[in-house]
Formats: sequence, C-alpha cells, structure tokens
Amino acid sequence: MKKHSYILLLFSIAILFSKCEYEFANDYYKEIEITQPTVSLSLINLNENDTLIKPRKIEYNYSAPDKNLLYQINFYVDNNAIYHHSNKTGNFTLEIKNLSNGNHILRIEYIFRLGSESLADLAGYELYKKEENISFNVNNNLPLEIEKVEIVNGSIKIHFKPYALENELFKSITPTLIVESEYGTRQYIMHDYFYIDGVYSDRYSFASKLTYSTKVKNSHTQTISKKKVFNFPNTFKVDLEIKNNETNIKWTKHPLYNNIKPHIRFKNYNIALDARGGERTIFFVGGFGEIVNYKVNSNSIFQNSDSPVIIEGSATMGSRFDAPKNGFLKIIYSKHNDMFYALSIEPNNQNSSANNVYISELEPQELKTVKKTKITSSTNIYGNLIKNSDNNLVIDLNSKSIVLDINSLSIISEYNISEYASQKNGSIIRFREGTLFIDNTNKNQTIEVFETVSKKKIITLKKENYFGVTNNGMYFFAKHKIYKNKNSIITEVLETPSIYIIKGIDFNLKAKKLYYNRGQTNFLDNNLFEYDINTKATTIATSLPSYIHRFYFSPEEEKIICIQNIYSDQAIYIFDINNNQKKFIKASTLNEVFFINNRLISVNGSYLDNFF
Amino acid sequence: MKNILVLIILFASSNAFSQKGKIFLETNYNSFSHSSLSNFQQEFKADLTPIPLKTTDDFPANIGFTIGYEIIDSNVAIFLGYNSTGGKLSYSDYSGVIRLEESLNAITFGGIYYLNLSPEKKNFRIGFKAFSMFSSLTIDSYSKINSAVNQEMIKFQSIDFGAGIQLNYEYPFSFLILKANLGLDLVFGGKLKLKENNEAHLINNSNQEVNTGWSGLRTGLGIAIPL
Repeated sequence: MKKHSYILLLFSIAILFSKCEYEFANDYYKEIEITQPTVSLSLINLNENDTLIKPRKIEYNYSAPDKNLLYQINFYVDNNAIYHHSNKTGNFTLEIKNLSNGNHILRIEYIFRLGSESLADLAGYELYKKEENISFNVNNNLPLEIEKVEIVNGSIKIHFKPYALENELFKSITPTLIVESEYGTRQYIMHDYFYIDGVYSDRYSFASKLTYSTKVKNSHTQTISKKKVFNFPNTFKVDLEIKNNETNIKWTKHPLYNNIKPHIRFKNYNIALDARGGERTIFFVGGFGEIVNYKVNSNSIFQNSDSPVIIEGSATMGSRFDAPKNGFLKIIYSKHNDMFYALSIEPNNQNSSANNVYISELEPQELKTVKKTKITSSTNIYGNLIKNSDNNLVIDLNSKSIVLDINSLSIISEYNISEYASQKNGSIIRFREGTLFIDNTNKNQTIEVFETVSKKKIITLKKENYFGVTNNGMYFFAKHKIYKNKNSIITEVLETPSIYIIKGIDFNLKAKKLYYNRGQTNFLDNNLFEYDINTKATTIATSLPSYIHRFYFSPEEEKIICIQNIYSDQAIYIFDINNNQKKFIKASTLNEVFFINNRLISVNGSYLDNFF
Repeated sequence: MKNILVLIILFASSNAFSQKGKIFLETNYNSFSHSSLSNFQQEFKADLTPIPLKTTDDFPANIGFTIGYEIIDSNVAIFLGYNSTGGKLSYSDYSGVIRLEESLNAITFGGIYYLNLSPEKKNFRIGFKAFSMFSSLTIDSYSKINSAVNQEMIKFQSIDFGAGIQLNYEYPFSFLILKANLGLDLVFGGKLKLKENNEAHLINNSNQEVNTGWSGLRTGLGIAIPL
C-alpha cells in the first residue's frame, strides 16, 4: 500500500510538471496620436479660374512624406470620372469639346496611406482620402464681336468688343473676317499685323455698304459673330466731259482711298485713277451724239484678280436729255406751240412684230419729256416724222402713214398700204399733202405714187436703193432724176448724169431752192447741190472734205446740216446758206442730228447750245 | 504524448523502489543560452519590418522542477526534470495586435553519480550527471488588424543530450532531508523537427539549423524523503 502511495505521488508530480507552461509577458502596446497628414497635390499648369479654349495637358504632382504612400488619384469633371492613376507625377488631357461654355469643376480625389504607422496603416488598411476642387472656365466658341466700324485715313478700322481670349488670337484661335457687300461675300483670314489693341484694319474692302462679321476657329470648333452693317456716304464721283477734240476726266477722292485701286474703262481705254482724286485729259474720245459708256472698276489695294464695277455711267458731248435706249428716230420743233416732238419705235417684248410707236413731247429748254404717247404699232423699227403745212404731225411707217393732231396727238387720218397696193408693207410709206408715196423695199426697187382722195396710182418709178421726198410732197427723186408733183401731175425737174444716183433731197420753200446730194451706187459725193426753181440753175451749195452721208435743210435756222461719213473723220457740218459760213463738229455716229434754235440736238439724247 | 512519456519513465523506474534509497523533489531556477532561438526570433523581427515589434520575451531563465530517486548504497540517482522558457515578439496599438510566441519546454531524464567531498563532511557531495532532454517548441503567431484575424501555430520537437556537474548539500531535518544544489549543465541541442513531418526541421534565414540551447546554470532547493 505504501509503495503504491509513492507511485501515486510521483505520478501527480509528473502531471504537475507537464502543466507548468512558460508564462509570456504582456503584449507591447504603443500609444499613437493621429495627426492630419501633410500631403498636397498640385497641378502644374492649371490655376483656379483658368479659361480653357482648347484641350490642355494637365500635369500633376503628389507631394507627401514617404509614409503617406499614394494609392490612387481620381480626376472628375463635374463629377464625371475622366482619369485615374497611381503615379505620384503624371499628366492627363483635359478635354473640353464636350463641355458647355462656362464654369466647371475639376475635382481631384487622392487616396493615400494615413501614415499613422499603426498596424492597420502598415497593412494598408488605413487609407485617407482628400479632395481638391479647382474651378475652371470653358470657352469653346467665344465669338469675336464687332463694336463699331469707322473710316480712318482712307481705310476701314473695325473695333472689336473686349475679347476674353485676345491672347489666343492668331495663336490657337484663327480669326476670319467675313465681308458681305454688293460685290459678294468674301472671307479672309485676319493678319496679326493689322490687329492692334482690339482694332483691325480692313485694307481690302471698299463697298459703300459693308456687312461685317467674324468667324473664330480653334482646334475643334468655330463660331460666327453677329453681323454689323456699315454704311458710309459714297462721295466718289467720276465725270467725263467730252469736248470736240478731247475728253476731260475728273474724279473725286474716294473715302476709302487707301483700300482701293480704281481704273476707268471706256471704249478702248483703261486708265488708272489715283484714289485720292484727280483730273486727266485725253485725246478725242467720242463725237457729238455718241454716248460713251464707262465703268469704273476697282481692285483692292492688295488684290488684282477681282475687279468689281463701283461706278458706271455714260457721257456725251453737251447736255443730256432722256432718250430711248436706241435713241429717237426723229426730232422736230413746232414753233407755234414751242414744243419738240420726237418719234421712237421701241421693241415690244411680248410681240416682236408689233413694236410700239411713241410720240414724246419735249419741253424746249432742257428737252425733258413732258409726255410720251403710244400712237400705234409697227412691224419694224423704221419710221419718219415730219410737220406738215397744217402744223400737224405725220408719222411714216413701213405699212402706213398717219396724220396726228399736234395738240392732242389724236389720229386725223391714216393711210394704209393695203388700201393702195397688194403688198403688206414697204420700206416706208409717206403721206405728203394729198399724195401717198410707197417706197417699196429694195427688193422691188420701185416707187409708187398715189393720189389719196381717189386712191389712184399716179406713177410707178424705178429706184436704186435711195428715195426721198420733200415735206410738202412737191419734189421727190428716184435714181438720177428729181420730179415735181403738182395736182397729181408728175414732171421731171432735173436729172444728174446717169452714172450718178440722187441720194437725198430737201426743199427751201422760202428761197424756192432744192438741195440734193448724189453719188454712185456704192460711193457718195462730197458736194451738196443747189437747184434754183426759178432759174433752173444748179450750183454747188457747199462741199465737204469727205462724203456727205446725209443732209437736211432747217428752214427755221436757214442752215443745212450735213453729216460727213468717213471712217476716220466722221463729222457734222452746218452750213449757213445766207453767208456761207460753215461750222463742224466731230461725230462718231451716223445717227440723226438736228439744228433747231441754235441748238444742235442728237436723237441719242444730247444737245449743244449756241453751237453756231 | 508528453504524458505517455512520463508514465513510461515512471514505470521503468518503479523497480528502484525495492532498494534502500530516498526520493527527492526540487524546485529549480535555471538559466539557459538559447542563442540560436533568440537569433531566429530576431530574424522574425527583422522580417516584419516596418512593424515596430518589440521583444518582450527572449528565452529567459525560469523556474523548473526535478524529481528523482537516489539509491543510497550505490550513490546513484535517477531524475526527471521539467524546464520551460519562451520568446515573444509583440506589437499592439489602437488598430490591432500582432504577436509571435515561441513556447519552449523540455522534460529531462537522466542519472547522477555522487561523490563525497570528504569522509568527514558527508553533507556535501559533488554530482556528475548525464541526461537526455525531450524539447517541444510551439510557434504561435497571431494578428488582429481592425477586424481581420490571422492565427497560425506550428510545433517542433527535438531530442537533446547533455551532461552536468553539481554540488549538493543535504541537511537532515526531522524525517526529511533538506537539500540544495548548484551546478552547470552543458546541453547539445538536436534538430527541431516539425512535429507533423519529421523530415522537416527548423532553419534560419542562413539555412542553418535552429537548435535549443538549454545549457546554463542550475540551482535547486528541495527535500528528500528516505524510504
């Protein structure tokens, strides 16, 4: 029993040994005071309230002690994530094309280790998030607005309103000037050397009404400003004074003399004009009665390719009065009511075979049209106007001759070819004091003379292209003979050698003298002949240096007006039958001229007073 | 396992009680030289930089127990001892704790041969001992950071051999004998093999074996009961 007690004792002690484990010391505990981390994130090239007009590459730099290890940086624009990274330095592109104009917030959220050096911190469980907000402005399309436009020193200055992006002009922003005018719309890129302190010099434009706007373009968008209309009084005038042997050009200073290079063009001339004004005389340009149309074109001071017309007009020798586009056919003067009457046959746009026949009444001082009356229509544009012995008007057309009351212009009588002949029309039909002269077309080459009361044909004569009859119907010619018509009895008055043909005739009732000129078929003669009815003697009334194309006798002035025709020396001669004085003036046209009241009148709408 | 070992030892020594002897029981205070394990612990500490771990325990001297039976006639005693120590790295703050505890204990079984210092002074004897130690090392790592807990435990074992010398003093008191001793043990640590896999053993970062280091000063106070 004692033995077993020892064994039990030993066993108990052994168990006790096995339970005597080493007792460890308590855990080491460290008190940690948490402080605000001293980290910062800076953007190298974006400052508060910067204005972005194009995408910008933003560089960033995270600055912190080593313990504040950076985990991630997130960038947001208006709470939309745009970029994230974990590098301490880097860059990203701040795009603006999808951002509206105005203010935006770039929010930067950066997450880093707190740096408390606690176990959680060291294990990466203790993160700290910090935010920075940077306000910036976006300007995708700021228009360059025009404040005002003015003329300075002969050029145009465009004043712009204050432009927030001025520093970017001509760099990232390309401004274009849009100029609308009557000459079209032009756009040209503005140059920085014309842009000073918000004012741009437009050295190109010269129209009197200009509509300006601008277009500014950056890397991804463009915008157009409001339009600004600029009007300035166009005081630029050009005057052509055509004299007998020379033409004087005068022009005023153009308001935009530093923008413009004007030059005048007429006939074969192209003359540069000094935009500051001036005067220039050139050799003979046009003769009396000729309308010289001119145009003043101008190039920009910098451009030669474009040449719009800035002024166009016409000039003529002497004073102007209104005339149809193709001129009057005839102008006569009625002394008893002191009024001019002019015949015109003007095309009918609706019916080319029914041209309008007008009588215009012109007042005697400046030949202004007082009244224009349509009388009838005609199938061609040829006609004649005379005043008969009753002081009424007679219009000769290709199918009829009409007598008009000179006061009312109502038709007194009308003589149609159809009532006398089978053909529908001739060259011209003339009613003269009870006799109707049908001047057939050159194809038929005949003259038919009718007594209008009985409509009986008096005679038919062969002609050779030319035919003429005096206003009183008493004398007419065909081929080389002049005939007299008295009481429907035709007698020969005179004849020229048969190698000639008579080309024109007129009658001086007062002096009882016939005037005529002659020539061969294709040639004219220099001489104007005078036939004395009483003595039956023929003399040369006058001779011109060259061929007499046409002539007529002015009973009011007792002068003969001759139109000389030669290519290089077209002229109008006026011959005084009383004193044989003769005057001439250059002419460039064979249109009719008349000499009435000492006034030389062209059917084209010009006159010269006190000519003789 | 440890309990089974103890039972085996007790059974093996039970026959000694049939001879004239005395049983003795000592409480020891022993120092150790676990430099290898200490260095191993420092490597751990270095490996966990920058966690500022602190070495709170570095295999210090510790109290142990010895029980033995002396056969008086042959001046021989057999004994069974128990020693424990440990190493610990720890750090804690508001966010959590991390600790590494290395618990080391050993059961020693051996024998002592006593020599009297002189015929007159029989209370003083010198003893020579030889023994074997069964060491057990448990590495317990634990961390809790915020709410995340991580814990792992690894166990190693080794068999160590040693020898020692000690000076004994005995003083009869009533039916007991009070005894005290002072000595020095020299122990050769064996491989610390993974308990669950004997083919693996503990090495340091330099691929050197990590051994126990039970060598050190031995002191003891106890009683002996003559039988």
